[in-house]
Amino acid sequence: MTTSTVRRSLAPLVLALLLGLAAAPARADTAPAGGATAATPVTVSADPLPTVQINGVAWSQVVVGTTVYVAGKFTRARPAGAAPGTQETVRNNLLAYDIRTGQLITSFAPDLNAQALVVTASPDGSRLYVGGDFTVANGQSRLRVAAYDTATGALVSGFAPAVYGQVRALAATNSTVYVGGSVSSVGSVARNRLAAFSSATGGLLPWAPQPGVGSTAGNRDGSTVTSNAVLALVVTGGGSQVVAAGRFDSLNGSKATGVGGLDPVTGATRTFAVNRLITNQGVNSAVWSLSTDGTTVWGSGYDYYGPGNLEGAFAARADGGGVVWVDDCHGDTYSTFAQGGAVYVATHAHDCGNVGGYPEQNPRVNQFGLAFSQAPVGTVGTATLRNRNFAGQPAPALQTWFPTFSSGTVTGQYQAGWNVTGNAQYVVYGGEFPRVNGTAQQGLVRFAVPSLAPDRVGPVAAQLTPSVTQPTGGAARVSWPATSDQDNGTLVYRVLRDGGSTPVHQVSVASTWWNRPTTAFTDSGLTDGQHTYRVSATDPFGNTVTSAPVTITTTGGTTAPPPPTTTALAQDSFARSSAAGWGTADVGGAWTVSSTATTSVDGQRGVLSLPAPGRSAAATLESAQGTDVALQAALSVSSTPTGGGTYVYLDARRSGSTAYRVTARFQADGSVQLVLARRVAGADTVLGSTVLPGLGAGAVVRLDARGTGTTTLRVSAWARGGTAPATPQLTATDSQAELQRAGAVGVSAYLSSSASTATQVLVDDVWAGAPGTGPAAG
Amino acid sequence: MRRRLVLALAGAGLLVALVLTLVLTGRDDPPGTAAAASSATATTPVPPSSAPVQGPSLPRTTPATSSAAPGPATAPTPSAAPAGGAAEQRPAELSAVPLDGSATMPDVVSGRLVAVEAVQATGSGVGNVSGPALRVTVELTGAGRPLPLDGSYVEVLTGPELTPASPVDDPSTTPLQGELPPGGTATGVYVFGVDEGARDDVTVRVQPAPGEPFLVFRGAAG
Repeated sequence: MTTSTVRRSLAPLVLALLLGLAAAPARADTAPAGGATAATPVTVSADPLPTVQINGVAWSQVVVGTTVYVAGKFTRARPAGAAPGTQETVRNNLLAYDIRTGQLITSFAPDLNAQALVVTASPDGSRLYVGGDFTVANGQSRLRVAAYDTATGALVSGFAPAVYGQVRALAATNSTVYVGGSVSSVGSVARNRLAAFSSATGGLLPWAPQPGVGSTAGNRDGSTVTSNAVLALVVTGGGSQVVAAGRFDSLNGSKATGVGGLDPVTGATRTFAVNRLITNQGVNSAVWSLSTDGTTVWGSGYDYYGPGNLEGAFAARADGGGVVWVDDCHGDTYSTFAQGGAVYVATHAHDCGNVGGYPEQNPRVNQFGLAFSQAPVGTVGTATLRNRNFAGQPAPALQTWFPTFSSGTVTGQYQAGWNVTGNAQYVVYGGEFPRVNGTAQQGLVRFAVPSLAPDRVGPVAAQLTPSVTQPTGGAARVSWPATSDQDNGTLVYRVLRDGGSTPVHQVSVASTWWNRPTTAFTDSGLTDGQHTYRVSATDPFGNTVTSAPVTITTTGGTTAPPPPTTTALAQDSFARSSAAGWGTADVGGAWTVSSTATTSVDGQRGVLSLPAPGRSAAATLESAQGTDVALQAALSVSSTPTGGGTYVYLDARRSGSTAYRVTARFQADGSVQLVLARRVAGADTVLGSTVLPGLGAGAVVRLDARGTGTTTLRVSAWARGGTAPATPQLTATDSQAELQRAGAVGVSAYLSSSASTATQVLVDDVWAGAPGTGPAAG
Repeated sequence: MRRRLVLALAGAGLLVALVLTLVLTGRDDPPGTAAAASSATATTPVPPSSAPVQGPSLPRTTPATSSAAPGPATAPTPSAAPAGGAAEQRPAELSAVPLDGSATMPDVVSGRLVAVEAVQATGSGVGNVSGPALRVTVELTGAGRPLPLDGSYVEVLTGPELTPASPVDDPSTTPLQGELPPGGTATGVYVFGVDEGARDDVTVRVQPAPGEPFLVFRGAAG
């Protein structure tokens, strides 16, 4: 066998340490390498799905069932793929489309005479409420708020309050509609930015909380203008609370900066703790948006020469407003939506370094759509804006989900997405973007969970640029910076030599668009002459890109061709992290584990935790089925064995509790006992045994099983980094009927009941393939 | 023009009185309660002596049959008030004066547009579209009683259909705020997105306080 060198960049770790961050979490995507966890939920794919387009800007969206309602400033809709000005349908500032197909719903043809800024629905889905600057809806007088019947698409005749002042925010229960904005009055009754109406009659309700303005001292542009405008509303707890956000600094005289909770009937102030950390208020900073699942509230903010400290997003408990996490990315964030364990944002975040994400780039890179874990995972660093209120607060994990939106020109603000929402299967963005992932798709776009998506977004080909050198005689060192993928954080790289299709090396490497570690592989034992190498990168959905070839003429090597290599049945280098379970092997499918509590991957090795004497842990590749099969793995223990030692098992032809099994028992004296057995329904029959000294620091153990009817079994073990013995240490034949068939391969461990300390078994370089062959070079 | 303004004002006066009562009795009164508080005696206006009552048939004592406003002024009574009461009373408006004219609501406020300028607005956030805009500088002069301006409202509409122009949070925006004393003046600056092609017929409506009639300015801008 030849040796390989895998270099992984230490830069992120060093950076994290310098910033005082917790260890960077694994980044999840559409197929997280370690399996889905709270820190690494499965995201929607980054494939932009064809969606109806608009000739303006979408400001707000709401999904009712499978219908997306879009409010904004536009006059025409056109199908996906249609050029601007072609195939247009008149839609003035409000439209609906089918979230499953992306097609305009032709039966819903509302008409507003000025832009709509906000749209929401009653919880039962029967009503659509829209607010904005309009005064006429469907030819009827509607002063800045109107209701539509979602079943018929008709304007609701009995809901027509006369609202003076821009409507920016709406929230609804089935009986009450809450309105916020720059509202100054309703009819002839004063209201201070907030009002509530009976959904049945449109009648004004007594609810009249008083948002108050804050100091202008924090305005760094010298502005002495202030504002108490309300920009967002949600109802939480099934209608038991209203949460408002905007430019205010108090509610009913109580300090409440940017966001606060309100009694849904009396309008009295509720404690909302995060508003004592947020400093966004006034004309130069605010909390832009709110979303909720009823128990958690997500908000987002901006600051531009103001006193604000939040440009990203926050998650707070609806009850009391306690912080769940703070997304302290820098760059205004306009909207949030939680789905499937992730929180999607519409933003132009350009620096997420303070939450373990991408640092500021030069030239600046704005990401217009991001996803975070819904769960808190890390900690906000000290590079906060304006003050240190968020430093040390829980932070979400940035996910590997980076669709590329092009910024638009409709609003003159050069933004892309202004709003994000969705349902359980889809995430939808609305805004002013002309293109997504380089494809024309104006204003609206859908993304779907992987099972509904094409999953065709793969590694970036242009980034895959290997180089090759000759480090020693007869060897070629191929190195390449990792490429990246918009929705997968771990890619499998294969090194292909001399035009072959069978890789001479395969490795999994985690990367992101801003962190692409360089990997190298040394191919030795080469015949003298010219050799050509290509490197391919493959995502979990099989999307593969292959580099241009690089060539080298080697000298000082052999004249014989290197030994052939075979395709592995299973292979795993464990170059990933998983807190629970072993995830998916590089080759051979997903690991089935006995318990996610005792199985993990630490970035280099699979870990079997044995927390107490008598405990066991196991991991099996159920899809790596073989009859003639060799299985080998590098095994070690995390601490000196105690008592009866630490047992590690390799199983071939495994099915349930029946397998051919080799036991490597790490003993207190530094030796390893090898035991070959057949195991039938949990009962072991020993076929051979030996003790090998000097392997306590770790051993590669191999079990070959060949033939049916009578199976020939061979067991070898050698020090890691050494070479396999010419003759197996144990050999046996066996004809047990239950084992003359194919089965899975697996590894497991057991801590003797007489041991005195907990330990871990560390497993690396798992390989399974044909008997008599070994892992490919590397 | 002067005559039309006065006539409309007389009609509006009824509502002014009604709203004044509401303001004085508490702006946060629930609807219905507020309407009830505005008793018939309180809503019977004494028109300014210079403002003859519009038309021949305006009843001073006859119960109202309609609460619609603006239009021929009527005197809503509690029994005739719709369920929403004052919340369903759309404020009256004075007859339009030219953009460079001045509008007066006796004993409340007078107002003029100091400037209507064509600008390139810069907005930020949802609802804001940067680009061609009109910047309107409103000046109000107090009369009669102190007038809180925090509830003031200014809007711009264009064309014969009175299509609303959207406000832009331009940095030059400085809304009317604070309290306007009698004889004092207050200035507010507002920016609205108005395309160059839509400036032939521009309507600026200024409501000094909730429920007060709108001062209306109309003409070609830019």
